[in-house]
Amino acid sequence: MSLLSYTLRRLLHAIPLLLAVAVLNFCLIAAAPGDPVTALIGDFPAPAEYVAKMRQDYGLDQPLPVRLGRYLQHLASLDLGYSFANRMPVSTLVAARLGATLKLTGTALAVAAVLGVALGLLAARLGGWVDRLVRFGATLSYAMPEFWLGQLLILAFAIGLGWLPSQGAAPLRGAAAGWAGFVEGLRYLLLPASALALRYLALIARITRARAVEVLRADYVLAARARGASETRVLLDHVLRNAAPSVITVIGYNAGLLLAGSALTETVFGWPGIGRLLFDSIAARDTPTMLAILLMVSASVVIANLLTDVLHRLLDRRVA
Amino acid sequence: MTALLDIDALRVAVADGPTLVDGISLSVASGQTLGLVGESGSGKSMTAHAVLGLFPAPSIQVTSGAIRLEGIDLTRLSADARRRLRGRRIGMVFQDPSSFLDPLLTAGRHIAEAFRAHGVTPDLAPRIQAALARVDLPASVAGRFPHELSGGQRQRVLIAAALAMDPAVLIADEPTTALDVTVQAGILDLLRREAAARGLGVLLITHDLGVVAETCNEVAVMYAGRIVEQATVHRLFRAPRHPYTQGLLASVLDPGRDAAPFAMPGAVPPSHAMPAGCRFHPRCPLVVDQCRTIPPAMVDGVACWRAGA
Amino acid sequence: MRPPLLALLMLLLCAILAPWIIPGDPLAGSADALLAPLQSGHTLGTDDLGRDMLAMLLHGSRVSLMVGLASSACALLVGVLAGAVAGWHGGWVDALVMRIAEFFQTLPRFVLALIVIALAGPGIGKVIIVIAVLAWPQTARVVRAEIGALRQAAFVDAARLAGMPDWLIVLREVLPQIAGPVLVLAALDVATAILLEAGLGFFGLGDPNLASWGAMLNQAQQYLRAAWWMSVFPGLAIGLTVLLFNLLGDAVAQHLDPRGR
Repeated sequence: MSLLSYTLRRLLHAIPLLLAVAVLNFCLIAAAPGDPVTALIGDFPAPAEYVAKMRQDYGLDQPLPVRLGRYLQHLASLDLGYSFANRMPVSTLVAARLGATLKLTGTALAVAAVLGVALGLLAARLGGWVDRLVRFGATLSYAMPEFWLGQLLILAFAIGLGWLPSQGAAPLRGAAAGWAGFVEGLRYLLLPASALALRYLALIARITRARAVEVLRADYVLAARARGASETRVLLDHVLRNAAPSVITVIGYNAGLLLAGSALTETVFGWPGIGRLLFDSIAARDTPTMLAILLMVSASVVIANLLTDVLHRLLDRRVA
Repeated sequence: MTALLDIDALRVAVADGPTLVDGISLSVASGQTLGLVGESGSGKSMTAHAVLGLFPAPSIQVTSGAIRLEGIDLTRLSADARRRLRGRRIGMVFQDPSSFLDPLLTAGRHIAEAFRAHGVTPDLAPRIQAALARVDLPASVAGRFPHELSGGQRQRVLIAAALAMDPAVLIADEPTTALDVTVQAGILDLLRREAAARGLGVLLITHDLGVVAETCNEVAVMYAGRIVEQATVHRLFRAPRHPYTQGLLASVLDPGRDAAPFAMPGAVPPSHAMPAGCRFHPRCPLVVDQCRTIPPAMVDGVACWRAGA
Repeated sequence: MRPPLLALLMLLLCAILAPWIIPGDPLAGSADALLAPLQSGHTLGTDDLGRDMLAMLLHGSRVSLMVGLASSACALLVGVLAGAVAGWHGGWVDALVMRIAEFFQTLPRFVLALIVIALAGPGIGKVIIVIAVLAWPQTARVVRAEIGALRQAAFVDAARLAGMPDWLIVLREVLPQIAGPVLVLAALDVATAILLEAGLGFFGLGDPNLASWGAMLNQAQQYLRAAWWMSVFPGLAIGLTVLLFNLLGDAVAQHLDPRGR
C-alpha cells in the first residue's frame, strides 16, 4: 500500500475519533450539575437576553439528540462560545494564546528529542557507568512532577542566583526589538522549557537506549562493521535509523503528556499560553473556555497520533 | 602459490575463561577455496571472527599466534587500521542473509556503505550497478528493500557488498545453510567463479561436507578448537585418516552405498570442560591409553595417535 | 526488588498510622508561627497559615496513596474484565471493546480530568473514578493480547475437554498466566495516578477539607520567595512516591523477563 493511501485511510480513521471527542464534550455539558446554560455560559452574570438566546440557539428545551445536533453544528462553524470572564469570543481568546504555547511546547519538544536521543545513544554505545548514570537519571527525572521541577528551577535560578526571570514570557515594560529582544525572549523561555522538557527527555532517552542496545547487537550491524563501516557511521546509518520509528512513536503517542505538562508549567511560570488560560478559566468557572481547550487538546492528540503513524510508516516500509 | 591469508598457531580465549580456538594454523592462497569443516561449537566461526577482528563479546580475545593478510600481521594493527582493512582487503559473508541486511536500508545503500567506508564516494550509482551485475542481479535491485527480495537475492546483495572493494580474501560463514537447496548451487557457483576468475582466496566455513566437495580445493577439519585433519578435498574424501573425519563422512547419506548413514555417538564437549589428551577420545572408537593423556601433534596433515593404525 | 518494596511498605504504614503519629487536624493552623522556617516543634517549617508542614505531608500521603491505589485497582478490574471478554470472545465484541479502548486512550488524561472535576466539583471519589476511567484501556489491551494468544493453548483445550465452563477456565487457568505483565501495568498506573492527583491539587481542584501534596504546592507557588520549604518537601514526597512505584513496576518486569534490558 502506498504512503498516500495509507495516510488517507488513517485520516478516515481519525474522523470518528474527533467526532467522539465532540460528543464527549457535549455529554460533559449535559451531565454538568445545575442548569445546562451555566455550562455553556459560565458562572458569570450574563445579560438575560443572551441567556435566552443561548437556550434558543442550543435548543436547551429540546430533547438530547436535537441538542447534540445543534451543538455539533455550532462546533462545525468554529463557534466556541463567548467568555464572559474575558469579555471576548473564546475563539479569539484561544487564538491569542496559541502562539505562546506552541513556542513553549515546541522548544521543549526539540530540546527533549535532541538531548534524549543523544543521551540514549551515548548510554547504549558506551555502556558501563555512563549507561547506569543515564538510566538512573531518566528514572529519577520521569518521576518528577514538572510543576515542582518548575518551582525548584525558580528557587535556584530566579530567586537564589537571580540569573533568570521567573514569570511571564517577556518583560512587563514590553519586549526589546531585534537581536536583544530575541536573547531576552530566550532568557524567559529557558526555565519553563527546561521544566517541561525533562520528563519527556527521560522518556525519549529510555526508549532510544533500549532500541539502540538491541540494534547494536543485531546481525546487520556486525555485517556493516565487516564492511569496514566506522562506529560513527554504524551509529548514524543503522542504529539511529532503526531506533527512529520507536522513538517517534513514543514522542507522538505521548503528545497528551506534553500538553498536560505544558498546562502545569505555564501555570508555574505565568506563561501566557493555553495552559495558563485553562488554569484561569477553571479558577473563574469560565466553562466555555474550559471546554474549548479540552476540545483543542483532544484534537491535537488525535492529530499527533495520526502524524506519528504516517511518519512511522514513512520510516519503516515494512509496516502493514 | 603465495598465501594471501596465513593463520599461524592462533589461540582465542575468553578473558580468564576457556580457550575457544587452540593453536590452529591455516593458509589460503590466491584462487584457492579452503573449507573449514566442523560441528557447531568446534570454533570455526570464532576463527572467522578472529580474522575480522570482530568478536561477539569484548571479553573474547586473541591470546597468541598471528593472522597475516598479504604479509601483514593483523593482530599487531591498531583498531582503526584493522577497520580500514575490513571490507577493503578482506570481505565476509554470513549465514542468514535476512538478518544480516538492515531492514530499513535498500540493497543499494548496503553496497554504497562498503564504498563509502573506504573513502570511495564519486560515481556510486554505476559502481553499485557493476557490483550487482557481478553477482548476476539486475540494476533495479538497488532500490529494493530487503523484505522485497528473495533469500537468494539477499545473499547475493551481501556478497556484492562484500566484494565491492575487490578484497583479496573472502570469508564465507555457512553462506548457503539458510537457503533453499535450489538456490544454494547458484551461490556456490558464484564463489567458485570469483575464485577462478579473479584469484579471490576463499575461506569457506561449513558443517556441510557436500558443500565442501562441490566448492573447495583444500579442507581442514576442526574439532573442539583444534584442527584434526587437513588435506586436499580429493584425498580427504577418498581416504580420511582421522577417526572423526571418518565418522563425519560416514554420517553423510551416500546414494552409492547400501548401508544406512552412521550416527556418531556423543557431542562436541563444551569449551569449559575439554577432555585431556586428544579431545576426540571420549567419542573415538579407536581410543588407546595414550590418547587420554597426551594431545597428538599434527603430522603429515593429521593429528591422531592411531592414524594409519 | 527488595528496597523499593520495603520503602513502599514503610510509606503505606506511615499513611495508615498518620492520625496516631501526629494527631489532630493538620489543616488547623496557629497564628503564632506563620511561614516559620525549619525549627524544633516544626521540623519542616510551617506554611502561610501557620500549619505544620510535617503534619500536612504525613496526612497528605493518605490522599495520594488512596487515590493511586484505588484508581489503579478500579482500572485493573475494568481492564482485566474488558480485555478478557474481548480476547476470549473475539469477533465483533473484540472490535467494539478495542474501539472504545482506543478512544479513551486518545483522550488527554490530565486536561479531561481537570475539566470533569471542575464541572462536577471536587471529591476524592470522583477523582478516583475519573482516573480509573482514563487508565483501564492499557490493561485491557495487554490482557486481550495475552488471552488471544493463550486461547489456543493446549492446557485450555484440556480444561475444556474436562468440562470446565469458559468463565472458570479464564479465571482459574488463563488469568494467573498473565498476572505478571498486568501487575507491572498496575504499579505504573499507581504512579501515573499519584502524579495526576497532585496536578489536580496544584490546579486547586483537590478536596479543600483534606491535606494533599498537590494543594501544598499550589500554596507554595505564592510564597516561593519567602518559604522555600513549602515547595521542596511536598514535591519531594510526590517525586519519591512516584519513583518507588515506577521502580516496583520495573522490578516486577525485570523479574518476569530477566533477559530484557
